[in-house]
Amino acid sequence: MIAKRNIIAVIAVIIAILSIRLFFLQVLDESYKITAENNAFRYDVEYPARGIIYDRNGKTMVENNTTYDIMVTPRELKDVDTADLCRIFKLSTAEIKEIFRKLGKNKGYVAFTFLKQVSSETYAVFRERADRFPGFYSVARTMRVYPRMVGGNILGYIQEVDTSIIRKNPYYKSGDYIGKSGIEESYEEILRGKKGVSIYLRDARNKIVDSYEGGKFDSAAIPGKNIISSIDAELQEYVQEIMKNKAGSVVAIEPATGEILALVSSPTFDPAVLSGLNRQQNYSRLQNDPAKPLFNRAIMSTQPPGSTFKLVNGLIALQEEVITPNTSHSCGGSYPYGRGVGCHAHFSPVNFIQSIMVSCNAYYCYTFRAILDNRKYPAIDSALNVWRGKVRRFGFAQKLGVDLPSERSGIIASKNYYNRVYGEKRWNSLSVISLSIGQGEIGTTTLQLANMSAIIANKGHFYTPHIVKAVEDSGRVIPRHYEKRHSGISEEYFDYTIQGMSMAVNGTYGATAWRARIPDIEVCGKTGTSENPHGKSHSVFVCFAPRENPRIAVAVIVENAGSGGGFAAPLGSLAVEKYLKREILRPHIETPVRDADLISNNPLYEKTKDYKF
Amino acid sequence: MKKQRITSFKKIDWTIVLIYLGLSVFGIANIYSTQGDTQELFDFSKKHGAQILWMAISAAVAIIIMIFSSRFFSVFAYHIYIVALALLLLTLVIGLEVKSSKSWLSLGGLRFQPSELAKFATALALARLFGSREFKYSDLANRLKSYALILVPAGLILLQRDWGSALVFMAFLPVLYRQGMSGWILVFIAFITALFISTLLLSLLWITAAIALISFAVFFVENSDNQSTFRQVLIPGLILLGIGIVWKLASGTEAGYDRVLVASVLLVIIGSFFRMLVKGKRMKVYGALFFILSSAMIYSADHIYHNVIKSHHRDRIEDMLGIKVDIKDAGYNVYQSKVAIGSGGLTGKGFMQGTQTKLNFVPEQSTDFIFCTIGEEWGFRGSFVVILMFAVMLIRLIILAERQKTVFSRMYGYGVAMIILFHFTINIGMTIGLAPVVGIPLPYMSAGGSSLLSFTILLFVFLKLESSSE
Repeated sequence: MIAKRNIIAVIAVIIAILSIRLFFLQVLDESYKITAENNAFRYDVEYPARGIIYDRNGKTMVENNTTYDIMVTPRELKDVDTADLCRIFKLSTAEIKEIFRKLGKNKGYVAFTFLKQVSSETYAVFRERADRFPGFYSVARTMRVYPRMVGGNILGYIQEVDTSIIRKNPYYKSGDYIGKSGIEESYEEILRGKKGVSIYLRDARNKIVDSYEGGKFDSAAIPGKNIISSIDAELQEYVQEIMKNKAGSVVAIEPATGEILALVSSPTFDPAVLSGLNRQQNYSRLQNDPAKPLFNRAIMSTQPPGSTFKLVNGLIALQEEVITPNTSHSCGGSYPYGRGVGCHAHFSPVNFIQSIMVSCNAYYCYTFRAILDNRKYPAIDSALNVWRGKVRRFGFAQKLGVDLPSERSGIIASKNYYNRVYGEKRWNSLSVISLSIGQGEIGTTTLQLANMSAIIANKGHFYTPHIVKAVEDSGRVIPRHYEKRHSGISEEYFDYTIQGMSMAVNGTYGATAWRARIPDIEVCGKTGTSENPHGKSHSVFVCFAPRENPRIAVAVIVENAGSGGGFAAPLGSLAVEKYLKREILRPHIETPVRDADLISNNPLYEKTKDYKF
Repeated sequence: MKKQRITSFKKIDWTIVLIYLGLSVFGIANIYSTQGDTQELFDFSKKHGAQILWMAISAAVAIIIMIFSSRFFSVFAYHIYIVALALLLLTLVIGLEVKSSKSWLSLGGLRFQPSELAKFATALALARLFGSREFKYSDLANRLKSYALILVPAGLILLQRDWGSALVFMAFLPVLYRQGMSGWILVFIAFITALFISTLLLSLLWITAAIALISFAVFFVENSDNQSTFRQVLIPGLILLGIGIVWKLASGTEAGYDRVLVASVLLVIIGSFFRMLVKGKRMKVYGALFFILSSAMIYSADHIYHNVIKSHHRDRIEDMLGIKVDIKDAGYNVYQSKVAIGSGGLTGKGFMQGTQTKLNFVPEQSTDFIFCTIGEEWGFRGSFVVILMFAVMLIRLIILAERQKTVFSRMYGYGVAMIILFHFTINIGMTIGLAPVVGIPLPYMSAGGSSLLSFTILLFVFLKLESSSE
């Protein structure tokens, strides 16, 4: 029968179509499996409070403030009284209209952000009347607030994670925040704590049915730990204040511990501008600022240290016994060999201590050549390498390992560099003579200079400089330990260097750093002038005080401020005075330094712009 | 008489009975699973408990049917039919309104759908009509009688606004075809449906081109043997299919692929029927006519669709065809149903482990959408086994029907097979987005007493007729 055959054929076709379709749907197509999981599970994430950052005296530098995001479930919206909403959230009718226009014809269950970062005061008003707004609800969010303006370059800021971070680290989900730069970045894992999650099964109406597997996979949020920084917030603020309108950086270290007391990079930025609603605008403004406020000069900018480096060369020469403290050289205003190195007017001849006091260039040319032409070593290149090794033990040409992100190592040229430039065996100690006075193929960070100052203050050793003293874990303060390292120079030699540095500040005749003098405090310092090809020299100064049991070691670089003695020395001494005396008794020093404006007059920078909050 | 009964028990077709039992028990297991956490199996206030109760009642009724004289049904076919019509009328007056259709009668707490009885009654009445000695299908009066037998109950059910159940009466068309109705009518209906769907799926240009291709094949055929049929019609169809697959690979979207696939399959089916039925020299005339009429049809269908059909019906149709995916409104049920079935994978999530069906994502999950639970918890293996069981049952029914000596038994058998086929196809089709969502149950598996009972009666009356046919 043809009818029977046709009917059976049709049945067969139907069976085939259904089976193939099911095979596609169930076996080949993965998308439904994923949808099913998202359908049925609801992950309620509990965000822990981020740790607070205190300064060394317990002053709060960053804390949290709860703000609220107002959310809307479009499906549940009913007769919204827009006038009332305007009043509560202080919005104009046009703004409300704009929000509802964005919402459009969306009628789904998926939440829509109505307003971000509503203050708790406004939220309280809203909550009282929440029953009038079906479909509205709020999500608490913590925001970073800064009770005092300590630089953004220390603290850093937090920002929403981007896709590259999410891909790298599965902990972060879209919308999470992560620390960026400063302490927020380097102590991210300690500060952030751990998110908690509760997994619920929900039904088609988004109604929670039950917790999944009786909460077996749920976890409680672990709050972030608080951090006690070594920063002295008052000192930090003061140095920021006197560094205003100058480009440069100041680092102050407690020599006995390696704790960083202040780390100022100027111009800096207020981290609060990167916390509010206008974060994105402000960020691009900061990024485009020619004075580079986001660039942490103290650890990222490398400059020739200038004459401050003579301290290192002098100590190495003493240790190598190529000079003694009594070695004297006369100086007629220049070092007359090779291309010659100029010097300034000072008495002559000078011995080791006097050479530091008057910062004689010629003396260090003789000294440096003595190191490099030492017969102990077969050739100049091996002598240079030995010297370089000794310089590196002072923490130069390497990352000190400070607990801040993006530290630069700086450079000290090696024999390979000179072999490349001059050709092998085609150079001698005269070719590299500028290294003797800290110019040329040498770049150091302000942090490294401050560390060098701390080494001298300690007469030989240092602790890895750090910005975090301790972590507060559930009420207990757990100090962090840092490595003690030695410079390789015997303690006895430091006495001469320190004597020279003290005389450079306090000497009666020919003292180069006399502007750093503080009554009642014996400051030991050394000025430097860092030549740079882009403009006026950078003013450099290192010092520590008091001479006995030093409590603070400072390094200052002020860009394009001329000689070290003229600008950096008084500025550095103000930091010392502020820290040791807690007040400034030298207004004649403070006022010109504070009021100097080296940025708006400098063609390299435009004036720093204002930021929106 | 007594002797006859005993032999009839031995002659029962146990293949079908076993499949019947298998489907029903598996159905109960899945209904049990939809009722959430571990439940008392014999809790009669729950759907699975009620289904077990109905299963017992159905089994008892099946046994009673086996005890009946096989002649009872042919003798009383018209009486049963009239009772069914009366109940349908009664429902229109005093029926309960459930979900906007007035199709339930309440008899002392028990609810019952007379349309279920009407299917059975119509199958009996049609068989009785065809079985009468003077019946000839070529006789116009007889033909009109058979149409009336189908259309009257279908019309009454339509008045109850239960268009799903009314559509089931289309299942009798193949029965008429078996009895001698021209295949043209089926082809015509399939053709209109296919063209209509094609108009929605593809641009008019595409369809016009496809029709031109088929017409071309028909027009230039000289000899009409089967081999050339195959070549001339299937090859253009396969080309269309190929284009569809390339489109799928190129666009990467399932929707586009589905559209072309469905449209090409439909066009190939039409073409094949056409070639089978059109023979001889009239070919050229038919070819030309085919082209002209089809083109006229698609353009008018387009007009009707956009200007005559109401927008919410359009939404449902478009959703089914994947033209407009609106997972929140019209398409919500089907979307969730597909998610549930699709998430089952090859082996399923395991008995009682389904998340989608258990958490009420799928509506009507124990009744019309019971197949979602099967698909989610038992995976492709489980759902494929269910489909195979139905396939074996259906083909077995047709083979048995053909074996019948009396026209009454044979035509009744076809009626049974076609009703089950229709329910099965539309029900599973709608859960996987191949058919529009019309609320009709999956035979033997969906929760619901009157559905289980009436499908049991439908089947066992045939088994009774079959077992006593010698």
